[in-house]
Amino acid sequence: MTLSLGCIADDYTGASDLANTLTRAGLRTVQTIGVPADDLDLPEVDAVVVSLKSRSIEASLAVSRSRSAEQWLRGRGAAHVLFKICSTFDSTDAGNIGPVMDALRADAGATIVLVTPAFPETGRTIYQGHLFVGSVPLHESPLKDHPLNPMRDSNLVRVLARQSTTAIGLLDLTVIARGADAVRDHLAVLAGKQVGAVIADAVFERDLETLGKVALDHRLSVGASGLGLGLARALVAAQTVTSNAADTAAAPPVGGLAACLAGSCSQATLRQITSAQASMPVLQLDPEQVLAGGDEARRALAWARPRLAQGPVLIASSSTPDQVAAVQARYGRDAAGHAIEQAMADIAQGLVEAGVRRLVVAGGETSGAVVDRLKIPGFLVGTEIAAGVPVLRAVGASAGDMLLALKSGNFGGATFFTDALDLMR
Amino acid sequence: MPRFAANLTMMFTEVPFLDRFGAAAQAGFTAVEFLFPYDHPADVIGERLHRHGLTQALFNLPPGRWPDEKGFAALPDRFDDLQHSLRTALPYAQATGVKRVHLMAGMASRGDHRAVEAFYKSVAFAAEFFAPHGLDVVLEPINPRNVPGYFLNDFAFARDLILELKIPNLKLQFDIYHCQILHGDVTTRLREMMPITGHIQIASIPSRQEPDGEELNYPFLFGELDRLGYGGFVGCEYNPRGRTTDGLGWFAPYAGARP
Repeated sequence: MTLSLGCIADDYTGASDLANTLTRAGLRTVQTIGVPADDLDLPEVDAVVVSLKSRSIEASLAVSRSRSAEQWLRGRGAAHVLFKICSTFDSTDAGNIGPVMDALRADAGATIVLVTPAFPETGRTIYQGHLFVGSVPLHESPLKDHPLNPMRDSNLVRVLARQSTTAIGLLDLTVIARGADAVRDHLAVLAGKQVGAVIADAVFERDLETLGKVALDHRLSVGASGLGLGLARALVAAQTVTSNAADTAAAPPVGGLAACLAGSCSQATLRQITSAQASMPVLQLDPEQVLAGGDEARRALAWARPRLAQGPVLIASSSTPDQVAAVQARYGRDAAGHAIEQAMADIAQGLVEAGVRRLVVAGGETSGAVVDRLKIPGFLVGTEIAAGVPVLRAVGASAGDMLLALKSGNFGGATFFTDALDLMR
Repeated sequence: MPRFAANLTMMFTEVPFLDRFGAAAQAGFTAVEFLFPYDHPADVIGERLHRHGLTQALFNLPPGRWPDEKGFAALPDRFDDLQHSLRTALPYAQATGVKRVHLMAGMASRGDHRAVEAFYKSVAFAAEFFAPHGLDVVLEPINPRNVPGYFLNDFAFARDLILELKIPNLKLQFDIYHCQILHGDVTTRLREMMPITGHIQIASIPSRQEPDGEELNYPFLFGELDRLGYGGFVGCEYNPRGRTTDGLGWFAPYAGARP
């Protein structure tokens, strides 16, 4: 097996978005949680996205984790590695984009690295090196007040130059519009001036397709899901990848019992729970009981077990904004959140022990806690249930083959839970 | 039968650099090459090499500030650095007993006459520097897709320079992967340039992986090297598809070869 594309994502949400983008573009894609063990039994895939949490940690840690991810990917034959960053280039002048890029570039011996966080479908475009968020430059967007990485400079050539030890150049739209060979010629001129990385303009998806094609000549690139899309399109065009990606995760059927968990308190999830009541039994946990030390998880499992054989069940810790505010006021915001996530993780574990192999989880934090508890090292990404929410097939899970859907709060239509279960066979 | 050298910069990266010597020997290689040994003392490199009964086929002279710089030979203002790099490499050549070193040209344009003049001067100086030590200097054209902006990206230019300078220990490093991307017509070029070829390297095209598929028929080319009487090394400068040893099926008939 040859891995056509390796990706290192600096946060989990971004990794999921990239993995989903690659799958929709036709690449069979596995997303892993952290750097996988050496003996992870990887299915036949075209791309692997290693999810790190390295966006806002100390630069030296981000570098060492990214390097181990790169080594893991190269060890599986990844000819090209994309370092996946946020489409708003979130980083301080101390890093971490520059230091990680420098380290990966040195490891790869890469002469010149294409860097572009552009993702036109979400309104992130770059012109003359300046990043726009929708219609405004980055430094006028809400990102200027980001609590961890306030972005006060829209000129990414300058931003990256402050973080990197190499000279940073600009690959502007007039060159990219002339096509891949013009870009190659321009890179040669810049590399001859010892420019080690370029910020590449991109306004339309076709710009990212041109950049993806050129990037494949090299060992390393840096970008957001937009460049991932460009790379995927180039690989598909080169017929390096040929099979239908979304179907790969669907076959063979997993079977087994099915259940849903809802931890999110978003309007969308509350609507989805109401809708699910028409087609499955629903148990509402009492957050007061969870926080007061009552064994809500055991009660929920005792309720669920006899019902599972008849069909899927839904267990919800979701509450209305008023209820959430009341619990948070009494126990503190973090303690309340943590206790409920852990209860949901306990329930997920109990459900899997009871034979559940198809699990739908609503709520970003709850999803994270459940995946952690079930010790799932990675997922094969499947077809989309709703925009941005694919069916996932666990890879290397101790429970064996299982399907999951993990959804952040405000995703999906009213019938999300039944839509998901329809696709999870 | 060609004698293959494992490239320890690209192969056996599952283990730290110094352990790759043992891994290569274990896999049946009798020779190795790598890009740069300079992170380790010369005697340590020599000891690893000899402990495992290996022959050093090739390594590169210091490149400068890697990966921004890829040698100094074509950089007119860096002649001092070039001279210094030769002195840095010499103890490694002596500790390993290598018979050829690769002089990298650097990032410059062949359209710039100052760069061309600097390259001629550096090449002649390096060859004369190493001649008394019994070492060849080899020059390698590299394709501009992988290394845009590299000075030496044309086999004919390298050939003409070598034939013009007529320095006995100045040779061509013929990387078949680069040749196919740059020009194609590999067999004809091998036949033509064999008299000046001091080292050969291989990889699949276009993936730069094991020489067991894709664009070129390597078994034919290996046979051609025998027909041409090539007695040097063939460096395996490729990125393994997975674990290095899993991809050595193509190498099985050649394992253990000694001169």
